[in-house]
Amino acid sequence: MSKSSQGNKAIKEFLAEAQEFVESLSRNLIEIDKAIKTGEPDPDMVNEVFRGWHTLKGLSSTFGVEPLSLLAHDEESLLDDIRLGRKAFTPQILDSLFESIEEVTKILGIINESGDIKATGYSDDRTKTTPGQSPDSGQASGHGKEDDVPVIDPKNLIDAEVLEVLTEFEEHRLKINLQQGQAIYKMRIGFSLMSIDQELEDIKGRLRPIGEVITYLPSSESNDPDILDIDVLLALHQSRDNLEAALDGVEAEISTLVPGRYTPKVASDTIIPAPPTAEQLSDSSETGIDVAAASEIESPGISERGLVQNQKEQPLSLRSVSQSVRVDIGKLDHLMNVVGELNIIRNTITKISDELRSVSEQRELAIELHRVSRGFDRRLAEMQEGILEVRMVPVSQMFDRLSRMTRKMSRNIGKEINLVISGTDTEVDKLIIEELSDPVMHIIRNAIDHGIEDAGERRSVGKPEFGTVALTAYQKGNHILIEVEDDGAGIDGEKILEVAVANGFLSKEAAASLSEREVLNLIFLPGVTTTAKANELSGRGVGMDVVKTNISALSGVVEVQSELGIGTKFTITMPVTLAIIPALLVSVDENTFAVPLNTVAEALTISGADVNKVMGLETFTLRGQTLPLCRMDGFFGRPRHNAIPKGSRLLVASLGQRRLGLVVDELLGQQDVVIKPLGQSLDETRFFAGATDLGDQKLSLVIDTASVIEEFFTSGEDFTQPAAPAE
Amino acid sequence: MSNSIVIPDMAKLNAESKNSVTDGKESDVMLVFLGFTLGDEEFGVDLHLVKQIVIPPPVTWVPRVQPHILGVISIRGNVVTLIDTRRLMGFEVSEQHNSARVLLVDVRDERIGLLVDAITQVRRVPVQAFEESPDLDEGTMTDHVVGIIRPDKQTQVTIIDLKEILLEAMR
Repeated sequence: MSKSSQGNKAIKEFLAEAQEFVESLSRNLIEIDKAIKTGEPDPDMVNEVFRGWHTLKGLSSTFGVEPLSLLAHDEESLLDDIRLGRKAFTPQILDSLFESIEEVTKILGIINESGDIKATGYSDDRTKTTPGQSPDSGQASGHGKEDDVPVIDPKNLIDAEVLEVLTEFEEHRLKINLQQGQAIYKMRIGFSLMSIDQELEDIKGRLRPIGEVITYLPSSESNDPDILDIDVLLALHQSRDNLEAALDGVEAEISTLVPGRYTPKVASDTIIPAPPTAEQLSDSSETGIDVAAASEIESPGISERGLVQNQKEQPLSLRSVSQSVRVDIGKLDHLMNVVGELNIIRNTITKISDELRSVSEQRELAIELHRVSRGFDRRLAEMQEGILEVRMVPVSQMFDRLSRMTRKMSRNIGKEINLVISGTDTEVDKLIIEELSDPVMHIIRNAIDHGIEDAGERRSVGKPEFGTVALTAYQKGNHILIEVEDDGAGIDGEKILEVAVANGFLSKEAAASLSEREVLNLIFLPGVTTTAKANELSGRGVGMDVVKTNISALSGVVEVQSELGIGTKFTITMPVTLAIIPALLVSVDENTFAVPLNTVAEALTISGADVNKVMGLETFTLRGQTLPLCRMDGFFGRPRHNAIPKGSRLLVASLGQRRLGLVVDELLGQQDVVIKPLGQSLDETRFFAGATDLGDQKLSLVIDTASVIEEFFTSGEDFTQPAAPAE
Repeated sequence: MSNSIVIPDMAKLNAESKNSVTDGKESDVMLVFLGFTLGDEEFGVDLHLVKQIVIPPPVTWVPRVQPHILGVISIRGNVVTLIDTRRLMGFEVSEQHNSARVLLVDVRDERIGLLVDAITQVRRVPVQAFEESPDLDEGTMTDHVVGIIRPDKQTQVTIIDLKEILLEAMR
């Protein structure tokens, strides 16, 4: 049981670092995937992937994770071949790289679970199965490509002095540019030693849109001790004028090493030489993302496209120099708990200061204390906000993973899927993101497998052959919404009803009375599926119920809308954070409960006289609309009064499209609460998101409004009727 | 279940008994239990199972759970489920006295509180004095009786497999 905490810490560090690597690697691979469809991937990107594997290799051998370092070693050599042009970047190779990432994730998972760095249980049969690895397939096509162009030996064009210092990769890039007939320039630029880092980044940023920086080297000759001269070797893809414009304000000594095959003037008018490229460009302008990569390869003198690339590249280089600290979420939880306890202390101080004020001889002291505690309040609120902010991560963390999976899935079942992602900057609590990945993945899987029709069927109904799945995130008040929408066949309500009746979930009569929305919601019942055959991906009728359970566990709701023949849309509504939330404190049968404020639309006073009955059920008419009532004492199994006592409170709970009136005895106030999870032993009760310490040493339960609403509408039990006399 | 497991386990875990084992004199092996009462009967559990003993803090009632769950309590900032040991073992429920204590034990990675009437003392007996699972009436609870010890002439302590009882209740 007991492991050395030292070892644990090392493992955690290793996992965190490796995880970061996996995330950045898959981001780059997805970019490459997009680029590969229209042309050649950005060499910088390929080089970055190469370096990524290299880093992972180093990391894993440092920590002694042998299978991982072996795997990384293979991939490193493969990418080395690619970046040096010995192999072409084929879709097969890309597949194998994606597979390797899966493999890495798997190994990391095993280490994480076992807590043992050696316990990977990994056998290396991967090399046999990945097609990209076989030496002939990749290499053959790689050579084929280079054969199209007369091989140019840089030795004849460039001084040996320059060539000598180039690395293999740089030499390769130089060759490629020469073959494309690009002009090669050498620029000597003086940098101040104090700020050389920023200045160099600045220059690279300026040059990137108009060409490719092959290398930069410190020059040996120097006159000023505070100035370092650097030679930049640039393959210019545009006119000399553009170069000078880009270097505006920079003192640079520019010399032409090799003149370009296209003279600058013609270059801006010359349309891309080969017809397929023109097509590629028009293609890529549709997606809007691939432009940069395409322009990198063949774009003599298209400055606008260069700009697009510039904007895209800039943040990348910024990120690499950004300062960040990795923090275990547990530590943040601890801080949040401390803030929660400070909140309790604050309440006590306020109470003391109030009491002190009533003592006349202590008035001055009381005023002083009041002033101090007000200041304390403000700082505490700031601190709370700060910690919450740190916990927030953009949903792109999850979306990157999802697009990787989507790509794999669409290849597996042979449906072309266009995944459209938006709102990646939306920020959510880290823990929620972690828990949300699986349910969202499942919904996407369903969309691809059941929703999107196969190509033939789509053609026959006049839809584009590739299916579109839109994954969207946005914030709305205290909630974030995640939508998964497909343009597939939609859900057939009739079929769902059939299955539900056949499985005995409801009677034929009950089925006939269901509204359209209620019918669609049946898919969240265990065992209800619309596909006759189960396959590897989905269709066994398990899943949507789990999706719903998982989302409810996070105090969220999932809703579905669907139109036959048009498509289906799932909407997940989640609180932004669960760490600390504003809550209403209410009392039910002399027990204090907290109700998350973001689930309550309003609070009213109610008495028995305000209640109407609809088929025996208690309801309340709120601005002309009927609101069903749930008496919380009855709901919690306590004896109820015959009629709702005077002065009772009604909380209008609203989540997604559902509304329910919760009747409680008293409203005690509002407070920010830190929610602590309940133990496994209380799994049987779903109605509480956790418990919170309000400062009176006694815990209060936090009501999970979503589950209460769910239970109220699904269970046949009637919680509004006066109870049988108490036992 | 497993008296054969319980005994060597305790012998292994307990420092005193370990020393005596290295002495090679088996007769010195001591078994150590924590004694507590429910009504007028004394029970014993493996001392090493009990992580902490606390005076009962205020309990928060949790609606719609099994009757033996009293509610939740706050232990060092964590939420702990409190179980009424009397109900769990099928005893009559009685009023809580000042002597009542909560035993904190770990079951399936979760800390659980067990409310008992009182703590008696730590009971040490030589392994020979341990009467293994006596013949008792068939019943769910009697299944969990591991053995009986008699620390002195007046006292008899029923040793139970608390962990197994809890696991069964949580199933």
